[in-house]
Amino acid sequence: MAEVDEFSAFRHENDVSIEQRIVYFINSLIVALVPVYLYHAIFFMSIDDHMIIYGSVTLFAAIVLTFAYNNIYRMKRLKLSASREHISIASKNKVGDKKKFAAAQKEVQALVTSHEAIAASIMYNNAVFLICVSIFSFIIFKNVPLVYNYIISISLGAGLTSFLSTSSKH
Amino acid sequence: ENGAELLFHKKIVEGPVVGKELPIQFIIYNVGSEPAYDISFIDNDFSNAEFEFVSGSSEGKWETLAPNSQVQTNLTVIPKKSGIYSLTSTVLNYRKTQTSSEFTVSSAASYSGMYVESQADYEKRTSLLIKEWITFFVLCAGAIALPYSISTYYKKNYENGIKK
Repeated sequence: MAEVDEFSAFRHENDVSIEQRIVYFINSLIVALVPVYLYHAIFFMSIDDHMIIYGSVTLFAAIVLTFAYNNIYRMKRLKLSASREHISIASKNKVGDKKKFAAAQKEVQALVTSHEAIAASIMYNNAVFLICVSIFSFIIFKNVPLVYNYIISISLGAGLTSFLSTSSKH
Repeated sequence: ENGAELLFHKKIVEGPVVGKELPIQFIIYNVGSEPAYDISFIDNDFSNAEFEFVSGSSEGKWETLAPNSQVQTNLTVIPKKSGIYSLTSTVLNYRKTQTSSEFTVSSAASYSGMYVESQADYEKRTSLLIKEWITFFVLCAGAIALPYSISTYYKKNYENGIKK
């Protein structure tokens, strides 16, 4: 008799669905385009002249930020799930299978928890990223030539955001 | 040595910008002990197609200038094209005494050249960019507020993940 794998239910807990990846990437692309407006309109770094730099740095930042989103998402979801697991679900439906009803409620609860964690994660990481970029571009690398200022600020901003997201305190 | 002694100053009052009026002053100071006579100068730096004449004169003539005094004439032009323009030392002719048949010359103290700034560069340098700053802050606020509103929606309408 084959040994039953008791932990099979947890093996795919950290898998990220394609839909989730798409949501992450769209949001990270949007937030990575905000500094493009900053450098174009306020620092007068022409988009036509620096198309390749803008494109590649924005793409790099977007990819790095997706990892940050997922890190915070997992922490948030674990925290929310842990605080909700013990809630007993009062059955409003006297008739019917209570077990089936409870299972359906658990499923809805998990979905809502997941969405809430995604939204909180995106909000937190967007705030951290924009604050880091502002500090780098206006304060730390103020005297660096503009193109290098852009490359370093956005890359380091995304990298630092991703690094901070690996912390266990959230 | 007695006699008139003139100093000549060609003064560009503001930074030159394309399309913006550029005032130029020609100031003559008599620092000698005698009046100067038959004073004249002609300046050719701004008499070309790159500058649009507005008012004033690029030449001047005076019969006499008393000691310890000054006289001034103004010229206003509008530069049409950005770039570097040479400025020459404009020559001032005058006579030290009334009976002298020789003209003395004095050169204008001035820069050797000037850079005419384009309108775009000028606006870059001087604009407060208020509209751009507001837009940037709105974009930042939007990037944070949108997911926050979604998160708030779930907190408001669901209790521990269950619809209220």
